[in-house]
Amino acid sequence: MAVIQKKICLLGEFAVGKTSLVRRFVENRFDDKYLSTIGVKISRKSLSLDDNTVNLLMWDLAGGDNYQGVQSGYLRGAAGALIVCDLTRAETLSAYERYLSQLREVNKNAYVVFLANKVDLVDRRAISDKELKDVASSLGGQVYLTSAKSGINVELAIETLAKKLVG
Amino acid sequence: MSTRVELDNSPILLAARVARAFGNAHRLAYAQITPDLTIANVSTNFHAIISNPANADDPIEGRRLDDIFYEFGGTEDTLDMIMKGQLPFFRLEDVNRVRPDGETVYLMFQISPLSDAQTEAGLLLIVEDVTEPAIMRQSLTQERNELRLVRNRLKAANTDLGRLNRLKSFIVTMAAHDLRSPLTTIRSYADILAEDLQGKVEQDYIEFLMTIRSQSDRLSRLITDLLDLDMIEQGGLSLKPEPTDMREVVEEAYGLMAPNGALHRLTMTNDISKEPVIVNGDGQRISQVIVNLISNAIKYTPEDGRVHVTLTIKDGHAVTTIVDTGNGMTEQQLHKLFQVYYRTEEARDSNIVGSGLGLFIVKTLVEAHKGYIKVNSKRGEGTRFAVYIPLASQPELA
Repeated sequence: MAVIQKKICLLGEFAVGKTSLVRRFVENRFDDKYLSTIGVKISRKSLSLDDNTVNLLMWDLAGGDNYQGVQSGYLRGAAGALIVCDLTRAETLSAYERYLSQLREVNKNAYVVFLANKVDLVDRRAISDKELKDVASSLGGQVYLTSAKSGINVELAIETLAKKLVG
Repeated sequence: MSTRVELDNSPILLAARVARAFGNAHRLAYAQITPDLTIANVSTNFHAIISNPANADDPIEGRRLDDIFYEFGGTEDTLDMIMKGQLPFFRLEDVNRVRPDGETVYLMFQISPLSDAQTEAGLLLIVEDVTEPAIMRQSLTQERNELRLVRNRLKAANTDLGRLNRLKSFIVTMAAHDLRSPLTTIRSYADILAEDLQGKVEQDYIEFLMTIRSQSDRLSRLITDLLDLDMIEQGGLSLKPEPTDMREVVEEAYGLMAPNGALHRLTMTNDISKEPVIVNGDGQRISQVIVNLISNAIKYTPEDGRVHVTLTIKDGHAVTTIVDTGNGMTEQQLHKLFQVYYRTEEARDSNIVGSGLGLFIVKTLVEAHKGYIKVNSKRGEGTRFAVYIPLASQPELA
């Protein structure tokens, strides 16, 4: 059985739920309290995919805003990325282009999956399905509606990315 | 083939000296990384600084770089570029690490060539514990982000309120216009019937018709007030200012309301300036203000009381006062008097009709004329309203 290590970066505006998504995926738990990440938090999780063991290094990067992205050093060596938006904040959607372009500058071939997080907050949803479809077609990748709180689609989305990376 | 460098005789020593010069030696650790990315040689404080989750007694030297620092996983190409002199350094800032005791520390990693002359010496890894400043930055970031979230929520709530307000405005305007036409018809027919039936039917029936007429007027005033309120809320209040003699406005308003005061068995008096009192204002809107205040004075003054209206000039303003001998108000009531929909407890409990819109509209109209209102009131003695509107500027004398 081969052991493969892959680095995945989580990108997106502040408070979209990147840290919560990693916590749900790696530790299968959720904490409602918002704690801003600065710099980078790296977590590891091993997956068994077909005949391979894939060690995923999840790089949870500090959320940016309209004025700043992430340091390109953090993106070096990333095989893939999860770009995250918050379904309750429309302004977090358009930022994906900036993150994608930063990622492509460092790694042209990195595979990207888009996560529209906080799908459990149905009443506060501010981004339509059509807008998400537009992002998907622009990315040429997949979009998943996720909830770090309930866990819905979190594992599926990250495992799909992992399969693409080793496939 | 890699060369082990004696720390005390290497550029690492220089790094240590620099660290000491900056007073942060206790927070800096350093290591030699061989070209095949093996940790060859570390400073004595290395274990402590890097918060190695593995057993502190396990040797680090001889282990692969990404074995101890998974932060460098996938960066082999970058490190190779540094060794070849194609990239000066590689730095990762504020890397979060959790110590075995659960405490989070923040580290800065920097990798640069160990020696420009000896590429076979490999790389110099400097690790700095930046926890103290990072915690401060985290705290600032947290506050900034929370403020941004609140601002975004307020912005969204404001957008929603604006939408609801426009909807309300639309409904008020539609309803008001739809109510006005039938009201005008009802009032007109009541007038015609009262006139035609005078002397032909019992007086009670004529009084019923008069009630229909007065209630129609009341509804019509309410609709006007609602439309004015909506106009004010939508920022659509516009005046048609022109030189206006306040004497004419106040005399006309007084003349209109005095019979009503007499009907309430009040003594109506006035003392209106004999000289022209010219303001630059919208005569119709100023009249609305004065009529409303006299009307209130009449409504809230018991029988046998007095209402006195004056117009004077004071400190560059036309000052209209309406003084009554009504029940007066408490300090608390005075503070809320101009709030929209506010009515005193006594007014609500009485049979006196009112919507609580009038004084809000009055104040807005006066302020739109760059004027102001003063109110003095004493329980059991009465109330004095004084409306100040700036006089029109006089042309300079030649």
